[in-house]
Amino acid sequence: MLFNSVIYWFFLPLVWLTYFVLPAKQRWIWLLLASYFFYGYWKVEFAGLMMLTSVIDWWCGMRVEQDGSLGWKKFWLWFSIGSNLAMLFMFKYLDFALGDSAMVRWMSDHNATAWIVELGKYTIPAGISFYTFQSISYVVDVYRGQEKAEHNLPKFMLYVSFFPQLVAGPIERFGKLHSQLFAEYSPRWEDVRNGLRLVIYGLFLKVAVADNLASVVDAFYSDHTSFTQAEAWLATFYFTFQVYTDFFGYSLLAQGSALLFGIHLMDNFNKPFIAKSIPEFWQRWHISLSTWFRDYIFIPVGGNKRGPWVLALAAMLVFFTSGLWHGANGTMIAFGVAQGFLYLFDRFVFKKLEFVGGHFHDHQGRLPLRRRLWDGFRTVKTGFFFMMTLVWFRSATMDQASEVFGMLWMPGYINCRLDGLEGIAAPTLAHGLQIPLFLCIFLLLDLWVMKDRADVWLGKFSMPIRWLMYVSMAVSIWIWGGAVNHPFVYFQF
Amino acid sequence: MMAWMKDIAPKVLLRLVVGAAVFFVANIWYVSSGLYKKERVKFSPVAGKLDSAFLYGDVVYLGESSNTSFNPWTDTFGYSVSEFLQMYLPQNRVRGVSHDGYHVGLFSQMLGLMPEHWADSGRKTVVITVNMRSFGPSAMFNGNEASNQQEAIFYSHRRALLNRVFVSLHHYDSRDAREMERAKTQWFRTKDLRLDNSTNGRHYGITHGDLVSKGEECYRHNTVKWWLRDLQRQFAPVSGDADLARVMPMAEAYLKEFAFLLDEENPRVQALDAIVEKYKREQVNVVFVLLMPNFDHAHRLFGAELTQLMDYNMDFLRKRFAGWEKEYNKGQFHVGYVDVQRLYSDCRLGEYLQGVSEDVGIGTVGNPCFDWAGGQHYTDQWYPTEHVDAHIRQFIAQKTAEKILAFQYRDRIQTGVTKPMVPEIKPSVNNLPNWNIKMPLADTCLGAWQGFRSKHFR
Repeated sequence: MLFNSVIYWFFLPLVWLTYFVLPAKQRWIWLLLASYFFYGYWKVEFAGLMMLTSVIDWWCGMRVEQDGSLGWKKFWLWFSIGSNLAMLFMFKYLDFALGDSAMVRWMSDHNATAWIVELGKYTIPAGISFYTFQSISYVVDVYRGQEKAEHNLPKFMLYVSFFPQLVAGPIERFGKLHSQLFAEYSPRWEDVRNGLRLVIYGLFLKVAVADNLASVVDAFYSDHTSFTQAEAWLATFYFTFQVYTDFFGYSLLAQGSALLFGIHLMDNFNKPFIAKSIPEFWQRWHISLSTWFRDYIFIPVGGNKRGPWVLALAAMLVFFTSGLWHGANGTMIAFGVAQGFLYLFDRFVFKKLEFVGGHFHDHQGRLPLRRRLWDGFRTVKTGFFFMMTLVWFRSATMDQASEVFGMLWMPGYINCRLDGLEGIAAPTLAHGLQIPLFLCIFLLLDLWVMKDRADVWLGKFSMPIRWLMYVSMAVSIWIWGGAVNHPFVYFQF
Repeated sequence: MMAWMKDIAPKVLLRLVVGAAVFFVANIWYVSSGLYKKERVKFSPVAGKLDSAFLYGDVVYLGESSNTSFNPWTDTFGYSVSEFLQMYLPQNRVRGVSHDGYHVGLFSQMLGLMPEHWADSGRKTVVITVNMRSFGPSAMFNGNEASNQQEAIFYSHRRALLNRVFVSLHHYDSRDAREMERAKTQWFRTKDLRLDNSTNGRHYGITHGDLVSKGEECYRHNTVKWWLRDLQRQFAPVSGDADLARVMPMAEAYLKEFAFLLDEENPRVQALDAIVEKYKREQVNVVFVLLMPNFDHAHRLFGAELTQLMDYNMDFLRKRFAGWEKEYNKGQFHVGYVDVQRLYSDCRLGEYLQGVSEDVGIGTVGNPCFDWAGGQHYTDQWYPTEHVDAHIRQFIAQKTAEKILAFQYRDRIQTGVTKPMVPEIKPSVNNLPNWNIKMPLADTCLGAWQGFRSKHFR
């Protein structure tokens, strides 16, 4: 079930109302059932797979806590990690890993092994990467002694499956989410109100901004050779904000939905496009995943405490894994590796150019113009580099990515426009005024106006202004919502 | 009542009421500003035509691409079936609504736009074209289906803004091309193609090396997947042959489009049932036109193994239509069907037996039978479609008109003699069975393919 589907808007109020009508001690059971229904709505088999993951990690978590010897603890830890990664590999990466090799053809021709190939082509269970990472983090935290193991299996299943953050995060840690899920809570109007504010703003970002941008981006990428260089730039620019508003909108919807139940999920975005460097960008973009990589890969590998080479290795490992996490495709790996190089470039090279910006304060304690210009340049540079790497992110194949890069940077590199042929109209990216208008409104809000999260920010206005904004957002969603059928970008991961 | 409820319920209710009021006002503005009208044309180009057809038409012809002259370069006589139909029914107002890729599932949804008590203003008839191919996985899991379903949102009289919200929230079968491809592959992989569930059908792809010829039954393929794989394997050593290479994509397409078996669970079959139910309620006559797939090319590509499946499916539909025709023969509501393939074969056979036409375009080289029309009547020579030349389009219209007139005579709506106003069609490129057709026929390449097939697919 998607947040931007009609069924969800019947599902959410029903679950919410029933949740609070039930006795406090039994509410979590209802939430567990609702979460499995939410997930099984796509395919019942998916729910079975998630249950299997939960059972394995619940068992491993207990073994890690209870077994006396370090060796056994390690065994259960790696058993858990291995089983999670194996499932992830089977459903997400097997097809990519096998490719169209001679081995596959041989396997296809022999019934005994053909099922493996078929499995690789099976639909990727929605959000498998998200709940797998969440589940892994639990076992690791128990191993490290940071968390106590959950002995109640259904309760652990709820931690893995809590529906607002199940399919696209934020990836929550056990300590934070578990304590909220089972805490005594009586609904408060402030939470309901703030939750609804996040929901409407999230829906506005997804439906009115991202889906409208998607109509242009999809048109370009479905037949990129038919467009001009300028249109290639426009599509690349639009995609940058499509992916941002899409995922940001989703995260707000998740936070808003969870807040209705009194559960505070972490912020997943914090104005990434004001970041002055790629390292800072990743502290502001998909924060729950970035911190996951930091805590479970970057720091264990050595982090920044063991010299530049280890740092470089850890960073590249993180970004390579991040690319792979985003999708079983060469383009995603290229995206991750490019981010890694940009990270190292900023960290080791660009940092040395800091002197160009001059002092941080003038004699009156203000930011000098030279520093402001330099910071502005760095912000634009960071956003621009990120935008460029998104060409890989969006392209279906490496060939398409290469062609789009060629179109962007070499005039006349490729252009098969059919202008002038009788009866054949050249395709166009013109999709009405609402697209640039909504994008400008969003950029204005995100980069300059909104200093707080949407719910807090909206709360600062007087009631008439606030309601005017609600109505404007609602009408924008209803009347100018994007018509392109585009699921959440991160949903596929 | 719990304390929190007293606090929260009024506030939530107030917001719901305000939201509903805003929605109501926005809906009025959306319609009165003309925005809805523009968007309806943008999202659902045929919805407006449907309104008009139901408003002004006595006979509404719901068709897909085969209604029209699909190939303007070779099909110089460009009347569509519905235009021919108007010529055959001068006393009726015939309105045609057609679009590429439409199917009975959509036609069923289109009935949402049919006005209440439409038939009160006189006996009405709706003609629905039925394309057997559209019941198969390739059509059902087509990447364009989401777009069709988006259009179908507007085939209803619900509030305008609600339609638009449903578009924004993708409240339709919005599976994207990738998901559709997966569903299609799943079908190809799992759906059994054996007509009689016999054990004769084995995985040809695996066991063919051990098989000796025991008659054709031994070589049946269980699934499309194995059939395709077998085809590719047989083709690989001869892939350098230009003629065969040209036919190969066509052969694959024929398998994917026609290798399936219809059953009661098929959603398109269920859509047919829904159509009849709806018309029965509304007392609107319905005529189904069962289009004629390209049996000739299918036979030359894969022989009886494929055409038997096609025959099974056609018979499945025929039985259904014949049952309805019989059931609803006497009352105020009639169902009829036009079996283009059978009628055309009978007609040509009659002409042949009378010696009217020596070269009637039924049998082609290597296929001297009267079961189906020759492949040259199809304007798409390299892909399995039902796009036929003007000659057959006219034939379809003629037979459909006969069926409608029969209803009208029976109901005494039509009493006098109806004189068709069909212009004389002068033989021209691809208008009549014309053996000087200049369009790129697949015949030469198919000849080479038949040699290949007889060698490898015994």
